Amino acid sequence: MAPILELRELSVSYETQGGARAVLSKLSLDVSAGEALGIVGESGSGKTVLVRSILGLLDPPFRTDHGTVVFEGRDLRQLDEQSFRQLRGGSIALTTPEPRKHLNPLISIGRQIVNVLRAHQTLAEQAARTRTIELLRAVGIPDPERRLAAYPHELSGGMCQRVIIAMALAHQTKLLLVDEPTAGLDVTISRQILDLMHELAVSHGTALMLVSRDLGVVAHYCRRVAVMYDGRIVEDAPVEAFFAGPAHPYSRQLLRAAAASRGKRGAEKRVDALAEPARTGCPFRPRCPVAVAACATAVPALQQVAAGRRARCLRAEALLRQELAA
Amino acid sequence: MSSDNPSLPATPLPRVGQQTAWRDFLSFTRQRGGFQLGLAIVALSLGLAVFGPHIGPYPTETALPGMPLQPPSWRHWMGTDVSNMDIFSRVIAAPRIDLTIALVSTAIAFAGGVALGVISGFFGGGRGVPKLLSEGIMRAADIIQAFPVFIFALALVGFRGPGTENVIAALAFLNIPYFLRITRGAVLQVRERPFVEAQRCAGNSEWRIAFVHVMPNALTPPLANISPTIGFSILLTSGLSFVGAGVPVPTPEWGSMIAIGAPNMMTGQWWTALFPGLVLGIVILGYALVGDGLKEFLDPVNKR
Repeated sequence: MAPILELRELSVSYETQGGARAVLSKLSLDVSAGEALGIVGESGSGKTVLVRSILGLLDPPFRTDHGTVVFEGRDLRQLDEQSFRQLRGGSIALTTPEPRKHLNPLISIGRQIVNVLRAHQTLAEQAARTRTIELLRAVGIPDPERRLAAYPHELSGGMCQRVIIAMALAHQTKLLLVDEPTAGLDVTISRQILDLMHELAVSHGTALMLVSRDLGVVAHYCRRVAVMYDGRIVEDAPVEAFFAGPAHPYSRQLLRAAAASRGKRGAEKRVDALAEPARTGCPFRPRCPVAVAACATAVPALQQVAAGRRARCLRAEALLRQELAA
Repeated sequence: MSSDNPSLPATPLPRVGQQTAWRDFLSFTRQRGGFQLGLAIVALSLGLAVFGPHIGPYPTETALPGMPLQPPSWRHWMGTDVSNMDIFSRVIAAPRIDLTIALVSTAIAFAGGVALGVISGFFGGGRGVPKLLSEGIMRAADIIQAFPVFIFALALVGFRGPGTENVIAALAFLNIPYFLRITRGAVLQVRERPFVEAQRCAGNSEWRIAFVHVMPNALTPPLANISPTIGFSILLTSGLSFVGAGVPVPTPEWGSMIAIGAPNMMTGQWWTALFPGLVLGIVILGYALVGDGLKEFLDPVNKR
């Protein structure tokens, strides 16, 4: 299927007193229409910056240096503010962690959804109200007519997340960016929320880009997973193949760490203190258990390693053949 | 031994709404005598502003024949002044003009200061024209505040000539920077809250975010500043009138009454300036007390 979003060599840096630091380095990624893509990676790997840069919402000291963000054939970086605003909350929407903090505490939720509706289309008050009730019902909020007047502090975190989803899907959303959907919600609620989000995305044909640290969530809801490390995609694979055998040593560590936190047998019990990414050669080398001499000089490219999967590792093939232990 | 007690009554969820806010306010007030006193003084001054000129026993702007400088008595509670006018009638009539000036100028300063504060705070960190606008606003505020307040007010009124409207304009102008800074401080905090970013993601324009979403969340500090500003404006109005740059005589006004009475104090007629000054002091105290109380009540840190 044709990609709805194409990122090409996207580079973002962070200005510090000691000079610029790269946050995203020539990141390239496609999202197809209607697909569900999971983005995983540790804190600081650039996941959130990636989401923000797609929406064009990076403020200084962040700076987009290079690359293109093509959405439905248009380069968003060339777009003027007015047209970009039409996209945000329209064709591209974002849901955020900590839902309550993302709602204006002084405006009732009904009014907030009406505002979102009216930001992108001309709608009479009554029609907007009716549509808001529909949306609230669609996201599973009981008694929506009465809840219109509720304020965010009167709703639970899960309810607030549902309101956020209702806003995100208020228009013909083509791409829904989901940032850490499980943060701040307990397990059963986050499960319900994710089910709801997934169901709505499937029924609307909305592409999902799900950013999460929770590999289980990604495994369950996504068809494809992209692993980020140090501002780069280090692996990009179909979910089944990824969980069967990762093609990058970092992916393997992530999987083992996840298994360890669930208390699985044979899982890695301890993660070594994390070394800084290397400046030359493969950035992951300082933490890599399978690094060889060549890794110190060559920066690996993101290469096709099997059908439909790419990895950024000189030893990807060996990893895939499961020849490398530890 | 532990077991769930099925007969445990369900705890009702706290209703947070206007009713509880009002109840909170009442219980807060009940615990604070100073705040109660302030509220009483403010209420009384507002009442006098409406009815004061009509309830005094004597006319407020006409002389009583043959009664100059009478000491306080049952007929003239606060005595009479050098122009044969009853001081008590004039003292209770004065809030009409003093409060009008203070309320109108404070309202203008609040509106202007909040609007400019939102602009300068919200667009402060940005780039381009809004950033320049924000910087321009702050530097203008610096310039206004660099002058001693009273001297500047005097200069403004001197420039346009005395008169009620000019005093209002001068006070509004002088008070704008205070509201501006307070609002700006609040906006700088509010604009970093996640819902602001969420509104941006929903496709709102920056101006809409600034005034529809950020401003209402940043209003508490400037609202709490209204009451002390009113008190301060009354004082400044009286000060200007005292030096003859404010409300022209014979309109009853505390500052000009003190000015009229001041020479008589030297010659032993203490009541002429004392009573207007006393009432002026009490009223300003009242607004300050209300301001302090509101600040405490609205401060989320003090929420019990």
